[in-house]
Amino acid sequence: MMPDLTRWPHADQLLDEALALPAHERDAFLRRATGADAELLAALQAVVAEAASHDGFLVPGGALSGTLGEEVVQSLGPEESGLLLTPGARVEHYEIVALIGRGGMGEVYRARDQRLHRDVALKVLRARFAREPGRIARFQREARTLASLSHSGIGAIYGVAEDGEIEALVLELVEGPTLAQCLDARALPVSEALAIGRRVAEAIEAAHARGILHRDLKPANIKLAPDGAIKILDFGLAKALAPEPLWPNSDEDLTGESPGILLGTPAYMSPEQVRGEPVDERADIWAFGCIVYEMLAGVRAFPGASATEVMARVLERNPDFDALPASTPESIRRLLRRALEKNPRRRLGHIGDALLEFDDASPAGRGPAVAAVPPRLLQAMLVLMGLALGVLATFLVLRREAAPSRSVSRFMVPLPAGDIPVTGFQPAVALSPDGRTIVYRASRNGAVQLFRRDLDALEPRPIEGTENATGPFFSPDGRSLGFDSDGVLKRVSLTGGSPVVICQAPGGATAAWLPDDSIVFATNTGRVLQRVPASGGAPVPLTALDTSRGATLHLLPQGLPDGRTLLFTIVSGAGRHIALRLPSGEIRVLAEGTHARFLPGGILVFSRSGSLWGAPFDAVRHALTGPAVPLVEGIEHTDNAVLHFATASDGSLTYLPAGQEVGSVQRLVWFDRSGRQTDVDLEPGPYTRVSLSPDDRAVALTQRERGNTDVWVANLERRTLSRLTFEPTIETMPTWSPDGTRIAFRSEREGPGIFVRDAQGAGPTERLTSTDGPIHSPYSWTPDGRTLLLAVFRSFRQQAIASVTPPDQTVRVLLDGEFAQLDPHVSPDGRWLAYQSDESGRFEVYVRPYPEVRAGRWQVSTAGGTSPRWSRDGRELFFVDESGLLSAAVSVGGGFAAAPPRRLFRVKPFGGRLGADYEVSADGRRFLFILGAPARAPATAELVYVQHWAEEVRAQLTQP
Amino acid sequence: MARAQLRRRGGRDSLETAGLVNEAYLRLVDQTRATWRDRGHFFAVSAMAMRQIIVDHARRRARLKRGGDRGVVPLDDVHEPAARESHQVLEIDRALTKLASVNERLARLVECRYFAGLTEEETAAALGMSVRTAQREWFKAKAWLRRELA
Repeated sequence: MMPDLTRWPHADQLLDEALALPAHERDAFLRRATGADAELLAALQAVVAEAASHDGFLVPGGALSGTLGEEVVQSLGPEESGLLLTPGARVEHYEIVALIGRGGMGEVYRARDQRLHRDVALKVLRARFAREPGRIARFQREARTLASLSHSGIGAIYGVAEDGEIEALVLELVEGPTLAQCLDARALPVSEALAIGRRVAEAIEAAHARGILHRDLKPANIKLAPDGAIKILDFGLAKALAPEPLWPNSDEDLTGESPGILLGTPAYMSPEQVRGEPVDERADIWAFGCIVYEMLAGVRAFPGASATEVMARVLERNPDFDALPASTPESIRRLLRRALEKNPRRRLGHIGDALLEFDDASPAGRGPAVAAVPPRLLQAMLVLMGLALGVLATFLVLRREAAPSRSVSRFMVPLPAGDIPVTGFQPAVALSPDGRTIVYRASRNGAVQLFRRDLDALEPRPIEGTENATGPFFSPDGRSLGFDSDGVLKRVSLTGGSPVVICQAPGGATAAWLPDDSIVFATNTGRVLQRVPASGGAPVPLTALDTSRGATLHLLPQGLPDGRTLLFTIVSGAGRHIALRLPSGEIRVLAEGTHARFLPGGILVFSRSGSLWGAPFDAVRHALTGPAVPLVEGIEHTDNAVLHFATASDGSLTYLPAGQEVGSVQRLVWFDRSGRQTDVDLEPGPYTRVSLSPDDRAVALTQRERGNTDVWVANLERRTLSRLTFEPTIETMPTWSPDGTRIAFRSEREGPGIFVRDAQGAGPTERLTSTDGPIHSPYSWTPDGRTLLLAVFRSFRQQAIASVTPPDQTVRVLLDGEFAQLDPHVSPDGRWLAYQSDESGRFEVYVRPYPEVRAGRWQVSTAGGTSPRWSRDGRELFFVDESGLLSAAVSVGGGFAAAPPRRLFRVKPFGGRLGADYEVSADGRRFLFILGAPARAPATAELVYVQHWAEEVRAQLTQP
Repeated sequence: MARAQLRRRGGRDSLETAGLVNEAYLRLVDQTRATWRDRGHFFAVSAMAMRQIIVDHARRRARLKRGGDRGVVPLDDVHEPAARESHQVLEIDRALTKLASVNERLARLVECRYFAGLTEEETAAALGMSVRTAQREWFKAKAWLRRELA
């Protein structure tokens, strides 16, 4: 028995010091450092020896060989680049060269115009945008108008390109930095600022003369050429790209820009834009004034830490004209005051007038003081502003119950555009006890933190010090918030201040704050409920796992109103139950379900199968007093266990509706032999592992949704998607039989193996193989449809090729070895087996005689290859490499012979080590690929808030 | 569409361990998705689940070897290395349970390193410790297990 090193408080320090030394000096150091303590020396020596041992004992990942390989491999597949187009792809006659940037509406690429032999900028619209009906037509109409605009100071719009689902604007490619990059919080010399200002004014005048407004003028939209020329980008695009009106009774002009654009650039937005009022050319003049001011002063005309602050300033305050350099000509000061006049009617009406002021520009003294604008009622403005931005909660009263004493109201609480709710294994929302403050977890610009939304405030506020935090929970007085921050339980005062550490909680905590100011929490590594003073300290276990009943985890605690009884969840294998810990320490299981919460008036609500259920509950007798009924569906959940909802002591509910997270999605695309693409008319989804029906009319594929992986069948003609497998586990690798009647697939159900089912979903599911360990993964059938070829996944790196001939369930291994051999396909004449193997160190495509696989071997790919597929006539063998599809002509006269492969087209295949996800059509002329599609993100995410929800639940539970 | 419907119905309960591991791994490897930030949590969860799933498999194999009959035909000689591997995994699992009673943190660490194959950095994130600590504790755990299993 090894001595317990914790007996020596300095042991860790000695170890660290020893390990920092070169290996040969460690022993001497330890001898010196331990002095006469031989026991300590021996213990430390044993530890240090491990640093130098390479005998294979307990290597990292050592247990990973065996059965989990495919899950790992499969997961390595999707490389979500978020890119719509890869270099070499074509949209009409434009060939993509590189990605230049991305914005709210889509990506911008440098592309080569093959007809005119010039480089252009392609602004490719997001699929989400492109799918909105009516928008494309309007967009094209606008684009035509804009294309008529030609001025040296304006980035030209050449037109619109479309290719399948891709919709792109073809724009002049303008090199050089933007004015925003040149400014970067410093002023330009006055003469330079005036020169740029003048050219910008000239360009605006040219556009205004044709009746075209910019609507989103800002330094980031102005490019500077080395010769002093300027080009304004995106003229008119704000309107062309605007969404449909936000409000039914507002006309299009009221919402000339999308909320995203509004929120992104309020610093240059005119007061009428901020208020959501109609805009005209004077809005551009305002923005122009802001830009000239900023060039001269080196600071923004309307600065602010947040969009709200900036907009309040735009509405209320005048710029600090004293910040302009002393050498600013009087005429320019006058111009700025007139351009930045808040009332449009009193503002400079025509940009041409600005040109006159530039002409007059000459060093002069200071102008008179600016007349104060009558201040408006800020409150009213903020409300208007909120409406225009869709930031204010939309109070939609869907239903009013007559009976309840307090009326139930439902609100949507929109998140600011761009903020995306982020869930995980802890609840992503919390509600203060009085129901007035929602805290939620969201990603803003890629950074995750907690946000606080007070119902009476206009905008959510980030909570400082909660970067990466999750699992928020309120203190009973609602003044503090606890949360899990990267494995540390912390608390923060909501009235201000920095977060304070409560205790370590590695593995992510779910927690509750009790009235006695202690915190009960559970982590995935601690596994039981623990209690710790809210002021910090060492946690003490409160429960023990009843392993005799298979319990593996206690989590999601909540205190009952007595402050002594705890409600929590027990996970035991596949079973989940809500339970109570009574003050005596007794555990009482209440019902099947997870994530229970107590509502006032004797109600328990909890998660069951991903929905929110409720049951009447006697808090004195600690028992449910009636049957459970489902209450709310469509709440975002994590693995059916954690529902992202929260309740308040006043009975209010808030939750995150399902489907708002960003997810990886793929689309199906047909390629012809020359690489021309046609999108399959099927909404992109989390698709993998396609198998094409022999008549090319349907595709079996795997859809991965929240831990539930199933095989679905997409009918390409009727554009329907129907589910083939239903087990709550992984079911994947669909493999269509040659006669088109059946689909084999692999299932991790109880008694895992390969199964087969009628392709129409009729009839029972039959077992083909059983496995007690290695995964059996089907790949193809022999042409006669009698034998199924599969790969046996011994480990992550080691796969064998095998076959099974139903109804005999014997799995015959054909090819085995210490490497990966998979994706077997037998040629149409039944004589040859093509497969991929990494025996040479990288994957290559090989062919062997079939079924006598030992009788020969030919390598078909020459520089790496995976995923062989035969043409139906057997004369061609297709395969893919990292950059596209290749074909090798095959002759099988005397023996097997393959010509050197030639590349058909370039495409970045989806699929990873398991091979690419593609299929060949019956005529061998088309290829169905799975390609990455842009991530889905809702335009605006939102939370649902139900005030006094408990009233309604009580009514539902007491109905006969 | 069908998918949305499926989501509404919520499917069936799927927090059985396999589903959890799969989900955890999906997320782990899908870190291009900038929205996933609490990696440590996922690492810890997946490591724990991994140990359980691997040990379960090993137990099933051991049963099979003892003459359990599930109608499975052995794939030639493939069960031999697998059986050795199972035996070792079960021994380590038993020792680890014992280690947990002495030093819970070391046991968690072995879960992360040996069972889930996490890197030092990932393990450190999972257990809320520094990378240096994770390294040192790994050597400690190895030394302890070596002695225990000797």
